[in-house]
Parts: sequence; structure tokens; C-alpha cells
Amino acid sequence: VSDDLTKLTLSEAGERLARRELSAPELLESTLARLAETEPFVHAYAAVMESSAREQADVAERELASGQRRGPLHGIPVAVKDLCFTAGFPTEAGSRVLAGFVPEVDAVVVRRLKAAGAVIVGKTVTHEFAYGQNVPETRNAWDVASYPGGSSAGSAVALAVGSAYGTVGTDTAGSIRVPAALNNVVGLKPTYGRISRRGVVPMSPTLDTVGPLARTVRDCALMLGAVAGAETGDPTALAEPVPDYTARLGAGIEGLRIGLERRFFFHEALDADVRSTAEAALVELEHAGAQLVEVDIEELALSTSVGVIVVMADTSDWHRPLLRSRGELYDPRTRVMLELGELVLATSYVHAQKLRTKVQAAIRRTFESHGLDALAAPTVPFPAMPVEVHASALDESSGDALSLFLRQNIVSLRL
Amino acid sequence: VIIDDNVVSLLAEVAGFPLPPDDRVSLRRALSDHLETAAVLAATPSEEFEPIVSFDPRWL
Repeated sequence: VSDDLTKLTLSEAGERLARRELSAPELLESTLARLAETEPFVHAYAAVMESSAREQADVAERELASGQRRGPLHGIPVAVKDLCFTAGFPTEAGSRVLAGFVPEVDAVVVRRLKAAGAVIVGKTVTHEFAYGQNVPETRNAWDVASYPGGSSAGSAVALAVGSAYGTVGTDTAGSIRVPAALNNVVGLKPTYGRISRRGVVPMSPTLDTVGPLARTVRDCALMLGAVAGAETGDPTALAEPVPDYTARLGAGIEGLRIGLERRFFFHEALDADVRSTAEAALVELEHAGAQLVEVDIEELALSTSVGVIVVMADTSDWHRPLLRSRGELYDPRTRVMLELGELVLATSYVHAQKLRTKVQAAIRRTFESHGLDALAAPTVPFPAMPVEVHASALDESSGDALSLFLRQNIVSLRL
Repeated sequence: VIIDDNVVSLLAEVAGFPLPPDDRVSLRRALSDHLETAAVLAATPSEEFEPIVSFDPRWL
């Protein structure tokens, strides 16, 4: 076991806390020291909540010392994307438009983390309003000259550099999965509604999800278990029991049937390194006993265009008053997308929602007819690129950064 | 339809949002691209499908 506390997994740190080999304040101070050491290079945090984090760690320590362990997150330093409301602490969504906005209540996901005894270290950097149009100051954990992905950029980078043990992100069209992939951590877009979106600055009410990121699958499962579940007053929160997501970890994948849609996900523009890495992963899955099943889902070709229209119109609806009252404060690239969203015809939107049903039905039909358990695909079509190259790609895409990643991410697995 | 600066400005006025002069070129490009995409989608049959209007995330 490593003596460097910041290299422990969430599970390992939790076990040490439970065995009283480590105190919650000691773990927090180690995390804050790592944060201070890494932030000048990676800028994962929009704001650090040092004072309240110390208070929470002290409370956790008293409870743990008296044998009142709330669960695996008790005393664990975590961070949340700066779209999540934090009572009495600014929530600015990566934008000058919300500068100084201090919510009166916590987002449900923050409230549940606190209830689980987690210590909220700070707010992680997001692209402005999660739109992915601007280039925030966050840098890739493995190469500070490279793009970290987004929009939950800080949530992924903080984990990778060791300045948090678990984080929360949001994912509408890849915003958890892309930065997780580019920083070599685990990120999950859960089933829609599995985690309440209440108190989280929205993009699309029918596509937004709140989800966990962590350094291991087990840690991700622990985070999900702590924050998932029905929420009174949130009609979009899934009212179903929350299972133990760690129960089947390690049980193997013998007999699992995994679909491969090569035409859509392994397309010609896929980077050669990404392709070979993905193919190698598929071989590993086969060696572990999974069956790979080639499938053809023609309707996937519609998904990027459908997704862009839905996201644009949905997002612009929420921003209508802000665009009119504080429009000059947006990053120009974000603002143009918000303006464009207001010009999407209602008939185009409804048609896109119909085609979304068509794509969804085709995927379901494929799962049923082939007896699939999952689809496998690369998360991103290319490796982390230099920040300047990414910025240039944004300019060349007519302000439409969504489509850079949407192809790989509009269809997400529902767990 | 040719989307030029005047068309973009007029649309913004009809929609009711202020359009900074610096946004006109970017919005013109983005709108042209969007209309191309929308035209392709418009030609795709969808009669047998209902639009997603429910928040229920489970498969039907």
C-alpha cells in the first residue's frame, strides 16, 4: 500500500479511515497539500472550500472516532462540478454571467454527499455552462500542454492528479465520459434520472445527467450508490430502489454479449492509436469470456444531428432571460450557440425528437434481437490534442463544438 | 436561401435577442450549417414515431 495518501483509491482511503489508521483531517490536509502543489499547472478547481472542508473533516473525525461510520464516503475528500449549487458558496458555471451567484441551498447531489459524510473540497472547473464552446484554463493531468476534455474537465483532472478521491460531473453529450477518457479515470453517465438534477444548472432537460467520476470502477460504484435515488419534488428523478452497485464487481464477464457497431463507432476518421487501443480492449474482453457480436444500427447515423438540435434548443430556452439581460458577459462562442438555439424552428425540434425515438427504438430492437448486454465503442475519436489545436478546431467547426464529440456519446449505455 | 448579415440581424430581431455586431459572421456561418443539417433531417421519415415527451428513462 502506498504511503502517499493521495495515491490511495477512495475505497482504500475509506478502509483506512474505518480502521482508524488515518484521520479525516489528516486525509484532507494531504489532499489540500496536493491540490496546492498541482493547481498552478492543471487548474482543476474553480474554487476551493478550505474552511468548510476542514469543519466537515472535523465532524467526520468525531463521528468515526465514536464508531458512527456513515458509509464508504465518510471522511473522504470529494469535489463537485461548478454547475452544482453549494449553499452559501458561489456557483458560477464557468461563466462571468453567474459571477458572484451564491445559492441558498445545496444541489441534491451535494446534499447527499454531505449526508454520506463526504468532505466537499471544492468546485471543479467546467466549460462555460457545460456547452464546450470555450477553452477553460484546465489542462490535461498527463500533459499540461494538452486539452483535458470537457465539460467536466476539472472533475476528471482533480482525480488524475490526486486532489480529490471522487468527483461529480454532468453529462449531456459526453461531458463526463470524454474528460474521464482523456485523463485516464473512470466516468459514468448513469441512466437518466438515476441521480437527481435538482440544484444543477441545466443544459437539456431530457438529456442531462449527473454522474460520478473516480479512479476505479469500485470507487465510481460507491459514489453512485451514495448519491442515486428518488427525490421528492424532482419528477425526473428515477423512483426505483438503489442497488448495491459493488455487488457484482469481480464476478467476471463470462457469457456477456457485447455489440460492436463498427460502421458508426469505428469510422474512417477514428484516430489510428484510438482504433488499435480499442481493438486491443475488445480482445481482452473476449479473453475474459465475453462474446463480441457484430451489429448494424443504421439509424445511428441520425444521432449526431438529432442530438445537436435538441441540445441547442433546450439550452437556449434556459438562457433566454440571461442572454437578454447579461448577454455581453458570455464567451462569444457560447453566446453564438445560444443565439443559434433560438433560431431552431419548433417543427425542426419536434421532428428531431421523433427521430430520437426512432434511434432509441432501433437500439432497443438491436439489443433484443441479438440478446446484447452492452455496446462497446471508443469514448473519444482522437487522443488528447494540444490545447491550441483544439481551440483551432473549435473555430473551424462554426462554433459547433458539440459535434466534435457527440458522435461517440449521444448514445449512452443505460445501466 | 442565402443567409447574409441582414437576414441574421432580422431573425435576431424577430426572435427578440440583442445581436452584437461581432456575432453576425459567426452566427451566419453557424445558421447556414444548421439549416443544411435540418434539411437532411427533414427528409428523413418519422411518421411512425412519437416525439420524446416523457421523462421516464426506462425502455418502453
